[in-house]
Amino acid sequence: MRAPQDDALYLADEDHRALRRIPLPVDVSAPPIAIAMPGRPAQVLAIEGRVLVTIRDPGLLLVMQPDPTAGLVEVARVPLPADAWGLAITPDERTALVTSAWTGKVSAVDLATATKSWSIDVPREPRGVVVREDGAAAYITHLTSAALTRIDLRSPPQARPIALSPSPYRAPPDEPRAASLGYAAALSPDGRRLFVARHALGAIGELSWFGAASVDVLVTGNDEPLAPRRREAAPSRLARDFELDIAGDQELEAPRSELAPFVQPRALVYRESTRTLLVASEGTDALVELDALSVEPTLRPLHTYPLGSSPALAGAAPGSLDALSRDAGVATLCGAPSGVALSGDESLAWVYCRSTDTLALVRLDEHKAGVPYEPGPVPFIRLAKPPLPEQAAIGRKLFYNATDWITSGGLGCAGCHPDGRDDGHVWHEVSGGDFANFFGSADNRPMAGLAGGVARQTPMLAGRVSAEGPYGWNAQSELLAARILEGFGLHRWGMGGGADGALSLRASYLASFLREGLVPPPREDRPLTPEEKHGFALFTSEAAQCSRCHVPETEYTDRTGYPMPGLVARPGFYREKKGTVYKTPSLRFIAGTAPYYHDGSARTLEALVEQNEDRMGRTSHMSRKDKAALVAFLRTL
Amino acid sequence: MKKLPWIGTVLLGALAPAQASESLIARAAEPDGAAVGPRAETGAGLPDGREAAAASGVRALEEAPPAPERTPRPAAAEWDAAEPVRLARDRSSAACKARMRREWLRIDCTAPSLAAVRTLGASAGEAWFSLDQNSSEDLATGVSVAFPVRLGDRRVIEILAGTSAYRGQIGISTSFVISEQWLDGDAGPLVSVL
Repeated sequence: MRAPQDDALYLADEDHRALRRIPLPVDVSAPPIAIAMPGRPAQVLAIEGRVLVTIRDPGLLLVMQPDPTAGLVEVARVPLPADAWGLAITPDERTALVTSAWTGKVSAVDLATATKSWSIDVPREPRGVVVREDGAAAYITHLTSAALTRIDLRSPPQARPIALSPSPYRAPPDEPRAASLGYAAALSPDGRRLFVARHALGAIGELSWFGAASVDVLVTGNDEPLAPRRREAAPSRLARDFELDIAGDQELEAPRSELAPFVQPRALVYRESTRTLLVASEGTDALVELDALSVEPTLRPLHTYPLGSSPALAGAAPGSLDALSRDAGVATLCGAPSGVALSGDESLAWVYCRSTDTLALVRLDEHKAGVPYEPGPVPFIRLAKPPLPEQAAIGRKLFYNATDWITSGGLGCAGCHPDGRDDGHVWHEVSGGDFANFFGSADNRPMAGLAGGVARQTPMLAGRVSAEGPYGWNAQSELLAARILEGFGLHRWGMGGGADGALSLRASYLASFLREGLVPPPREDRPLTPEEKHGFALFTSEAAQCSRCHVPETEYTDRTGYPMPGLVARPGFYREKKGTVYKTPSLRFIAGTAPYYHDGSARTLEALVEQNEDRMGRTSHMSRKDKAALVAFLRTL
Repeated sequence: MKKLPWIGTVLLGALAPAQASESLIARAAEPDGAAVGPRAETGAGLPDGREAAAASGVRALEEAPPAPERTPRPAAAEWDAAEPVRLARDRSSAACKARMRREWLRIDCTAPSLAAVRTLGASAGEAWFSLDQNSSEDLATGVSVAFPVRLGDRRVIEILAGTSAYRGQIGISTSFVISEQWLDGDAGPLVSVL
């Protein structure tokens, strides 16, 4: 975030629990000032005389002031629901709006008194927030759903969902896709168009097991999508004698442009001077520029600025982080770009590269005739040493990376496990003699004759991978690294190749990061309420038997596979093979991981308990009050 | 395991070679058989049609929108007198040219091996497409698109080329995407060719 006075750049470095102040103009030889934070900072916003910072755990909004000696000093601290993340202010700069991701809240803070005005519930994983030009409403993006939330900023505030289908031309008419990774949104300067970057799950296209990247546009005047609906029998003309049978072939009916000009969009800014959008592509270590004048900006990107790696240095010491990174096929210069700010004249973008702990200075294309863009070396600042030991530090790069074909198959681990959590999606898994593949929707068929697949919900990883094993929905992998190795083959169409040694090395790096680098969601440290205590008693009772398998001492799981009789296949999915067993899932953090079961068939914890039918332990004897108490206890885990 | 793209019946050798745009224009089959009239470049490589218009004197469509009318699609001969216009953005490297007649916009593009043109989505159904194709060629080397530009419009059109693939099979890929939007409150229509 650039300061209004143009004298400094502020950067929230979550992994080092620091806010960084970088004096402008940037001097690549001078280290930035690091200001320690009381928790992990997520976003920073600089306004006249103040710098606002969201802190994830404990949930806070910090109000700070520039200081000639310390860089910044804290002037107020506003407690907010845990996992405070996204940040925006109203046009009059009187109110800050903050999303709290894990707790599913949006709060308003009165900046004059530094007090919370209100908090309201919104759907899972609210992240990006923007306020309309008229200050009448805010739009919220979510990591785990396509719909936005609109909050009318009156008293009392009111929230309602706004439908915005991702990548509408890569879905059959009337079958909108799900979306994930809604980290960021930006308004056009006149406020009449809202651009939302995310990932369209199950979007149709060639080799699109994972879906497609998308920037979707909402018309704020009527809260309708800008892209007109795809229609059956839309006008078309074919070359004479070109025997192309498009009709009925969903892949051919979808746009034939690149599926993923960016991967895992992490940040989005509007560049007013060129009427373009800049997207930080976490998975491909690139900044991607799109046409903001297009109805569907993603179909034809204007420019891609690759940032990942500088040419190999002849002198890179064997065994150094740089050398090991190159061996693992991950970035050395700018990995996992996750923040973008523009210079005052918009000729330069500063890009925060999370997995390399660097800041890249990217000179932008002017998009003018007669002024060709000449790519050159990208200067960068090394902000800090990696916050993790070497193995985990490389695993951290691999986790976000979608370019190492051996590992990712076009989508990084973070594409389905953002923040090490989950995308809320139920994937389709098909297997044959010597292969198994995941894909995002029943429409995406890896080969003729295969459709549907069995249902596999994305599990959360953070805080759930300390055990030695086994892992996988069916307890099929003895060790975590083995499960990761299996994932290299599953999460793609076709194997990525690679020698056994290269695969194992990458799996061990990733396992280190999952255990040492992922941060579990926040949990309230408080005594149980009477209702929760009653739920605990039920959970551990001989009558219910929940804790026999969900063993409290081992992350609420015994890691053993059991059959699940009576579960019927959901529409669009295959029936499970006879004798399939399902590993007891950990219940840690279960409140925030809906939907439930391996097939996502229970949308809420209440529905899970209500529809259990004594399949897991015994609950049919419980009263409505008991079931509510059991759910209340589960929410504390 | 890799899924093959679409498998067609046109052999690789039948794909049309690249054509010089001049020769294409000379023989291009115009809508309803009309001759090709003067055309203007749509502002290739420029960030903004308004800036380009100021430099070239060609009207920027965005700054001088058509009158709110609803007239029939111009007859072929009417396009001869159509006015060249600049679009909000054009990244076709001068392969596409735009002109305006009443509220109707026509965009002509030249490129090798053009196979199809289609509407991906439109708020209104009217659009007219033509492919310029020699009788001896399986694929076209030019395409013309015409549609009315009216307040409230939103439209996305994709122009596709045949591409070579495995063992003589061909696939299709995007050559150009035309986008039109004109929302209430906009100064004028935003049309881009990318």
